[in-house]
Amino acid sequence: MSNNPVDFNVLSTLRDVMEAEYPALLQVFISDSVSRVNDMSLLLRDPSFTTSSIASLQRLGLMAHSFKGSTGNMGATHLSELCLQLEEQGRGLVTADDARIRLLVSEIKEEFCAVRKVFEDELQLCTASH
Amino acid sequence: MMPSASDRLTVLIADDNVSDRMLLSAIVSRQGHDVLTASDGAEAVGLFERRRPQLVLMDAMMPVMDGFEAARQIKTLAGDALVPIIFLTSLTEGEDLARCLDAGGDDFVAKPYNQVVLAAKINAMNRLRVLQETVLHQRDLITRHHKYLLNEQRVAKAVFDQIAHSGCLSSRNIRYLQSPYALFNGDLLLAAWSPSGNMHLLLGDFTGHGLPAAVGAMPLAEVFYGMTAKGYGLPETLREMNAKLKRILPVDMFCCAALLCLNFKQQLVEVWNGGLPDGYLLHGDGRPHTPLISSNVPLGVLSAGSFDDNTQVYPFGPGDRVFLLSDGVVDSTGQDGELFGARRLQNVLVSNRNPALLIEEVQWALARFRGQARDDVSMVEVAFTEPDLLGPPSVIYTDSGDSSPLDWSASFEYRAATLKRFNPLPYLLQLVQEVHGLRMQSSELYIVLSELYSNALEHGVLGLDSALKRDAAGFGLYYQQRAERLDRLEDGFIRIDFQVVPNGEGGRLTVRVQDSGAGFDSDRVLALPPAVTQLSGRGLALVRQLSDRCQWSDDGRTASVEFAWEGLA
Repeated sequence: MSNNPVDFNVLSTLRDVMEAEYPALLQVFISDSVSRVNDMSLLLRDPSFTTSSIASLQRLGLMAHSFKGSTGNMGATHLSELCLQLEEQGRGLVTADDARIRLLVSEIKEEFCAVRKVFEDELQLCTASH
Repeated sequence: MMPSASDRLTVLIADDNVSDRMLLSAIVSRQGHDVLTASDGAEAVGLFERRRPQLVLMDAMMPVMDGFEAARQIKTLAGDALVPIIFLTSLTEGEDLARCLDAGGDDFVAKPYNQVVLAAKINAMNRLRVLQETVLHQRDLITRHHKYLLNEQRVAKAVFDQIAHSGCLSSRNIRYLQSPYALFNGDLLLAAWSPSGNMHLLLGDFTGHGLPAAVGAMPLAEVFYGMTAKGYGLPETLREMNAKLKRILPVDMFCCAALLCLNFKQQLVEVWNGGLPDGYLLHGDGRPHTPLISSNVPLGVLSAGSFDDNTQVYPFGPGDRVFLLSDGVVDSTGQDGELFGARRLQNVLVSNRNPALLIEEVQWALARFRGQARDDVSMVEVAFTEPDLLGPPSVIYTDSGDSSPLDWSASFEYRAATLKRFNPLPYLLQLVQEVHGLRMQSSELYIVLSELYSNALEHGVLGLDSALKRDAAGFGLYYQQRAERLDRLEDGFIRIDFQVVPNGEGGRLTVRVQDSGAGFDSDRVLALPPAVTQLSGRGLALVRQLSDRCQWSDDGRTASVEFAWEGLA
C-alpha cells in the first residue's frame, strides 16, 4: 500500500465519473490540499498551540477530519489513514501527544508530496492525450 | 441509468471541501438530477429557502454553520413536506452518527463515496419523499372534503332547525337532550300543538348515519306538522307518515318512532311506539312507572294495508311525565362490551328524586358506565301541565274575510265503514273556519266538535260505558273495547248538521251531532259534580264550558251546540 500513494482503481473510477472535468478535479484537489497542509503547519508553528488547549486540538482535529474525507475520495489511501490518526489526536479519542502530532503532520506533508506527484503526472497524461 | 422525468430531483450538496463537492456533484448529475452546491451550512440554508431542493446531501463538519444546525433549520423550513437529508460523513463514532439523526438527518453515506450505494440511497429516500407527498396531498384532500361536508351539514342543519323549531319544543313542560347534529345520527324530535290544544310529540330514529339518515327527516316533519295543525289524530298521522316513508325510503331504511298525543284538558296521553326502546309513563304519586312498549313495526316498513295504527291511551294527570329515548341510550356499550340495557335505565328512573334532573341523571349513568360521553343519544321528557299554563296555539290567517259565507247549512252522514277508518274532523273544522267570525274560537270549536264526535262514536255508535274509565284498569279496558268494537262495526251512523245564520253584524253557528246509538241520560251526566280524580265525564263538562249554548235531545242521541260571534270591528 505504501508503495502506491494513490489507489489506481479509485483513479479510474474518478476518470469515469468526472469525464471532461477530471483534470479540473485533480487541479482543485491539489490546490485545496496545498492550502490545507499549509494551514496545518501554520497551526503547529503558532506559539499558542499546545496539546493542553482544547480549542487548538479541536481545530487540528477538524482540519484532519476534512482532509481525511477528500483524500479518501481521491484514493489517497495512506494519506487518508494518516489524517485519521491525526484526527484521533485532535478529537481527544486518544491522549494527545505533541511529539506524535508533529510527527504525523510531517508524515502527512511528505505523503502529500508523493500523492501530488501522482496527480500531476495524471494531469500531464491528460493534456498529452488532448 | 437515467431516471424518468418524475424522478429527476433538485439535490442540494453542502460540503466545505471543494474537491469532494465537485466529485459528488458529478456523481449526482450523472444520475440525472439537478445539483445545487453550498460550501457551508448557512449557505445551504439560504439556498434551500430560495430554491427548495427536494433532497439534501449534507456534510456534518463545516465552517460558519455546521451540518447539524443546517439540517435542523432546513427541516423546520420544510414543514410537513419530507425533504430527506443524507449526511455525508467520514464520522465513524456511534455518538456522531446519532447526532446526525437527532438533527433531522434521514440517512448517512460514508466517504469515500460509492456511486452505487449513493444512487440507491437517493432513490430510497425519494420513494419516502413521494410517499409523504402523497400522504400530505391526501390529508389536504380529506381536510378539504371534511370542511365541505361540515359546511353542507351546517346548511342542512340550519334549514332543518327552522323546521324543527317551528313547533313547540321550547314549551316549558318539555325537557330534552339531543346532540346539535342529531339529525345526522338519524334522530328526530318534533312537537306541535293541534288546533284543540293537544300536544303532539314525535321522537324518531332513522336507520343509518350521516346524510342518508337525515333525508327522511324532512318529509316526516312535513307530515307531522301539517297533519297536527289540521287537527288530525295520531292514527291518521301515523298512516300518512308510514305511507310516505314507505314510498320514498329504500327498503333497508326505516324510522323507529314513538308518537304521543298529550291531551291536557281531558288528562289523557295517547301513545304509539314502533321500534323505539320502551318509553316510560312516570307517575308523580309514587306508583310504579308504566312502560310504553313498542308493539308496532317501525315507520316505512309495512305497506298501507298491513300497517297497524292502534294506539294505547293512558290517564295522564298532574305530576305525570312521559319519558322517551333513542336506542343510543340502552344500546350503549361499556368498555367490556356489555350493554347499558333497560334494567340500568330503570334503576335510574326509580332512584330519580328530582324530575328536573332525570335526563342529566341518565346521562351521568351512561357516562359512568361507558367511561366517556357520547353524542348520539336523544331523550325527551314531557310533563303534565294545566292547559292554562301553556300558551294558546296562535293561528294566523291572511285572507280579508270579505268572502266569508254567512248564511248556509250543510249536513253530513258518516256510516260504519267510514267510521272505522276516517276522521272527518279536520275537514269539518276547515269548513266552519271559512266563517271569518268563528276563527277567534277555532280552538274551542275544535275541542267541542271532537268531543261531540267521540261521544257519538264511543258512547252512541259503539255503546261504550264511560263509567269504565273510573280507574286506570278500567281505562285500559275501555280503550281495548273501543278498538274491538270499532273493528267489528257493521252498521250505525253519525250525522253532523251545520247551520250558519247572520245576526246583525255577527252571526250564529249551530251544530247538531246525532248518532245511531241508544242515547243516554244527559241530565244525569251533566249533574255530576266535577270530581278531580274522576276520569270519566270530563268531556261533557268541557262542551258545556266552551260553547255558548248546549243541549241534548230527550233521547240523548242528539247534541246541539251554538257558537255566536259579534261583528268584527
